[in-house]
Amino acid sequence: MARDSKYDILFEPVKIGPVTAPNRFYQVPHCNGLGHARPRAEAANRAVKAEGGWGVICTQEVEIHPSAEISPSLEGRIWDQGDVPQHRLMTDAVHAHGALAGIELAFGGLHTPNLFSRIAPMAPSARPNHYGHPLQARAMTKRDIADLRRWHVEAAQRARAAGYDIVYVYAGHDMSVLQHFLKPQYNQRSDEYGGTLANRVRLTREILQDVKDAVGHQCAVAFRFATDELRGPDGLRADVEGREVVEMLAELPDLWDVNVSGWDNDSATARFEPNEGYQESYTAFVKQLTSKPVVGVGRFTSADAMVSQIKRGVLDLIGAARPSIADPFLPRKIDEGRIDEIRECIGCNICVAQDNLSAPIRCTQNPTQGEEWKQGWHPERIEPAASDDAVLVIGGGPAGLECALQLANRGYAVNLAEAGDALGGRVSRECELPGLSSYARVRDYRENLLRQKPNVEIYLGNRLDAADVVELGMPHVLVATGARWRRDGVGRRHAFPIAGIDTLEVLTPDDLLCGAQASGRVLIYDDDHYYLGGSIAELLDGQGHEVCLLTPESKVSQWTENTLEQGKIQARLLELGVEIQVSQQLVEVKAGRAIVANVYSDSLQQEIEFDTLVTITARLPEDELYRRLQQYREHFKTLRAIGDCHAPGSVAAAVYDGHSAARHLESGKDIYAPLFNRELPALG
Amino acid sequence: MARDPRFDPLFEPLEIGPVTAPNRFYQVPHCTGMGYQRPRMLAALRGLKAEGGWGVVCTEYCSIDNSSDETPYPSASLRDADDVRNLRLMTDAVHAHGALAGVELWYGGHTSANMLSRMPAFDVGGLPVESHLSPPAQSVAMDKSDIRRFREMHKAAARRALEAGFDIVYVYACHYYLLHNFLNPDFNRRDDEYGGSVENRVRLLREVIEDVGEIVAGRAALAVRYAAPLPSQEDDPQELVAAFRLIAELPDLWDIASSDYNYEMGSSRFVREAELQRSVARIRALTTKPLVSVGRFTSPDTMLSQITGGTQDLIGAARPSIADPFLPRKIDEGRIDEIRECIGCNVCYAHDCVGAPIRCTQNPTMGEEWRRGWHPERIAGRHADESVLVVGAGPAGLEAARALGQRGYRVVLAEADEQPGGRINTESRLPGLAEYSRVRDWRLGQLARMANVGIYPANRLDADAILELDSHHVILATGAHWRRDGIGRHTSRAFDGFESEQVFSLDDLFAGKLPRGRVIVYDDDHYYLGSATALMLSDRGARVTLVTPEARVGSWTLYTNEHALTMRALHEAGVEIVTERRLARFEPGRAQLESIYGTGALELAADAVVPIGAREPDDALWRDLESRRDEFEARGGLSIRRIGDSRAPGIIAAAVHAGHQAARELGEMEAEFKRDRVVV
Repeated sequence: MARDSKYDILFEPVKIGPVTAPNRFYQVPHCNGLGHARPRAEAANRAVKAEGGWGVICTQEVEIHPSAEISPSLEGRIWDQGDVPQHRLMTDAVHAHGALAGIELAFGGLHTPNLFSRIAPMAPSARPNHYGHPLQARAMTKRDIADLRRWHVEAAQRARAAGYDIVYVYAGHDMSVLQHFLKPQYNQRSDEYGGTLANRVRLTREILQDVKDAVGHQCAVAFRFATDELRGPDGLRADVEGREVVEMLAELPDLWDVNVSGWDNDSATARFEPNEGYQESYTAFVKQLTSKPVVGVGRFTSADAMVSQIKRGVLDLIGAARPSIADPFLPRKIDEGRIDEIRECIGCNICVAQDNLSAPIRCTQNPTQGEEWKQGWHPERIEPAASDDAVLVIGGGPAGLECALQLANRGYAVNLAEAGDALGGRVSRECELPGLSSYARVRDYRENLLRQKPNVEIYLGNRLDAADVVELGMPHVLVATGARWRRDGVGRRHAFPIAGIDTLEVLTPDDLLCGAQASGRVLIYDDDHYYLGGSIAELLDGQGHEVCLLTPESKVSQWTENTLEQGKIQARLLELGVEIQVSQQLVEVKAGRAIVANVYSDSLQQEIEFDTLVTITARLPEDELYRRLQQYREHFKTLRAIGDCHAPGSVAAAVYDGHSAARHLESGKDIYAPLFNRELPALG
Repeated sequence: MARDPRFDPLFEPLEIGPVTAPNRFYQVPHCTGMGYQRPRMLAALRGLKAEGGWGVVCTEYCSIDNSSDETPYPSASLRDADDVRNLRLMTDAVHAHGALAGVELWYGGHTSANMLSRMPAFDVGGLPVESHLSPPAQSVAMDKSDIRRFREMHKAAARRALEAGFDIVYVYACHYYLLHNFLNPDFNRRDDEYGGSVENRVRLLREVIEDVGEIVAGRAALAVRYAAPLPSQEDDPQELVAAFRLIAELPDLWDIASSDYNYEMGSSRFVREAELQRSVARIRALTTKPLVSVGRFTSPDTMLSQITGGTQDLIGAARPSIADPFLPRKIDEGRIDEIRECIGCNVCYAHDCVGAPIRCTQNPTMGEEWRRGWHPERIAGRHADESVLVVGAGPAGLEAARALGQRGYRVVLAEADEQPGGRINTESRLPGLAEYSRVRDWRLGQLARMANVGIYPANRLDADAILELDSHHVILATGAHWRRDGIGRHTSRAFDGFESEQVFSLDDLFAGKLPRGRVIVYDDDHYYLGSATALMLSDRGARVTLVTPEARVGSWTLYTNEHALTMRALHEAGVEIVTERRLARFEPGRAQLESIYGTGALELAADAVVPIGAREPDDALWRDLESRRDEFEARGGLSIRRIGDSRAPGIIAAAVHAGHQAARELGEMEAEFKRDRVVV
């Protein structure tokens, strides 16, 4: 199909200094947990986006010198000439598809603990390091400032040699020494680099000029700048310092890449920023103050919203990180009139979490993310079917839906049987919880495409038993029957059921999501630590219950630190008046009261009263059907459990497992030992 | 000098199955934060220990399959031919010094998050994944085909181990990894032949021992790493002992660890040398096979008593071998007083836990063997007959003076205080930190025998005095002082009322000025000092509330494995704990604490506050001197350098490292370090 002409504006080229972006789709710098340790995976990850139509593809943060290195996090490195070949892999791959390649030169300062290099970090003034490691950054001397300027120039020259078209100067996310200079909280210098804003911006101006002088004839020089820190007078504000900085530097960079800081605000999850374009009120002013092109982000997934940004003069280029992760082919799909095929980001930040854990990126919506080189997976292409066999997928949750979709894409005759009245499984239930409505996109994207496939039959309200399955006679059976929450308290903290719990009517998330009502004061015991505990507390509070959330961890929803949500979740619960008890575990429960103990000293005990007990601890695979089918193993060429029914995990893990099963069907590979490509240091 | 003959038993060879350890010094498997990502760094580190006399040198945990992947923690791996090639570097380096090389085959089970492979974790049952990362995932209960596959993986890995040149191959059955979990009735609820009775629960371990044994028979020894119960654990000893009896004679060597890592890897704050001795003794009686165990042994006499008393046949060590890779050689050569004793701070382990190469407070060369070419015992001679003035005898100054003395320079070490030692002198008097004094004592011991180094305590120098000394080189190591305004990691603004006389900095406390009554220790530093100070004040009768903006007290001590025992100590001392609060205001009588979530303030009765936040470098002298650099150079001065806390306040290990580096680099070109890199 052809592109709808109302989107033509998105496909106009944009001149950026000496280079020209082929269209307005711009993958801003974002991390991916690959970086210098996984250069081939990194190049392939970026290349597929260029292939998918993004006009500009940027790296993640690239360290310019060992005195600001962020290991164990895996960002890029361009410390010396030896790093250039890694980068050349990426620029060649990006250029092969006609896109521009950008590099974000970064010097972290306070943000980089230098755990590998063991060099003392540097900052405008002496301050503790940001990661909580017991070390402090030292105040930069004039010589350090001169070094920093020289390192930027040298890195820019290496970047140009590596083939980059756009070179960044970076002052955002509270992760860059240049932003630290801008902030009076960190910059208490009494020389010409401290004091007034004009002084605090001096180093940025010098480095922008240095980099332009060094490579500006060939490369565009972009300035990534956080206009606001969303901390009121305790941080930079768009209408005060933000505006003044843009006024002062207006025409100096070739491109303004603007956003909000810190990272938890820039990459806010859908739970806290449900609407696309949420940064507009902080960044829209920039275009008024400069004639240079402006790129900004806002988790844009709708082509209409993108057009509106351009037409209203908010942005010149549509920046994206997460939407390009969920769908590397988003631009091509708009271009080809296939808008309903766009795999929209759900804003869960599982991608961010992986980077925070220094592990390769993954995506709930796009299971091929990070697997481009490692397993040779492409987000849009898949091997054709190896036979004309029919396939039965049992269960229409995330794993079953993805598996069915990919098998259909391969050309198999797919039968998808779902016991319930609707598809979606856990995402259909969980999307009803406060803040999680976007999770429905996992279902909607797949259901929409499946319903258009001639080779797919969907059977709702179809609960199959083993005999039914055998009778259906399909050679390949994939069981995706999900998991259910335990009601005995067994989980991370408890190997055995909690004393007395069998005498109570305990509610689990499954009960609550299927309409069960709590009564009176509710005690939630969260030993799962991801999003459900906090979200269910919010749900029950909204229903008028007095809620107490008890957890053996030291924070509410502890794992959401990785998704940049933890502080926001705990703040919200505190605002709602939810009682929070941390570092406590259940010892015994009786009707109406629980005995709880401190996790460090079990003699420190207290009693907590409740009317309803909700436990969120661990899940049990719903694998009874799968186990029964094992007795008929010889009837099937393939019999495999996938998703939560195999190993309960995140939605992303279920989608991935469903995808993997579809790829491996009749591939001849041992599905439990998929060989993948790994990168090891050369011994040289 | 020659070895004291009473230590001869430590140097007797020992047959371990088909191989023979040249002596009783055994570096048990320990992590390094290097693993498969840094093969050259790692090989050099292990080779160095063999050079220092350790008769056996092992790898760290070494993944045998893609489905056991602890990314981002850099474990070793032995999954394919590339790994064999990279590990061959290590075995060659170890063999070059006549030592045996051991490899610890590892399969994590529900403790491995498989962040790289994205495969579900497999384990005895469906357990929540419990790595450091605790991801929202659970393991798959292994079925029979998984168990078959698991056994095959071990066999294949054992073959690769032989190919890579290892002499000892481990089967790893403790630390809550998969084989341990099969033994553990808390986790093993299987109803097949691998669950239920102890015979059933030990079945998989027995099978794997037999499988691996068949592969390595006659070529390498088979070791099993197994957890001995602590005497205090009354519930499961019977289980582990009963299981042990069933396989007591199967391996060639038992490596006995503990089922409680808080003790096995205990910091000196809470755990003493030879802590596991009683547990090990109980196991010892049940087998005739050689046995090795650990206990942070640094005293040759304690080691000797372990051997002669029959508790163990080999002296296992991880941390003592990190602090002093040459410990065996020093005993052998009668240089016992030169042993650099581990202080039990667990900074080594902490860095592995954060995914970085290990380092050591006592041994600044740890991890630098390959990339900077540093040797723990050797150093280049002086580049010229020049004099060096080191100002400040804290950890950085002491190490700089020592290493410069070793290089042969004429060194003057000036200290303003009556006693050399700097922060060591004050901090080692806090509860539990006595062993930190080893940092000072070892260096003073070394310095005492250097005729070319003079130490001048009670000598506070100013710039004039320094210039008049006419040293060629000046190294300033003047330390740092604690801020009293509350600025730290979570706060960049001073709290209201910080000028009050009832606000005490840590330095006030160290100077003997102590708060009384209701005292708030406000910890925005998050390492050991907050809790140690609270315990000290509580001990002296203050009613202490420890307030911190973090969710955990001393959150960084999670990495040093001190956190849980710290919490217990605080609870026992009756210290009140308030978390996730920032100190906003103080006036004698009350303090106001703000929620870090922005949800309201809390008022607390308080007579005094001790803020522990950031430190300010004591660098005034350096700045004075820098401003008079022309004068200095006119008098023949060549270099001025500032090191340690006076440059960038950090942990003691960082100061010692900075002192060592300054000494190495004096008169030399500053060399960039090498790194292992993925080459495309």
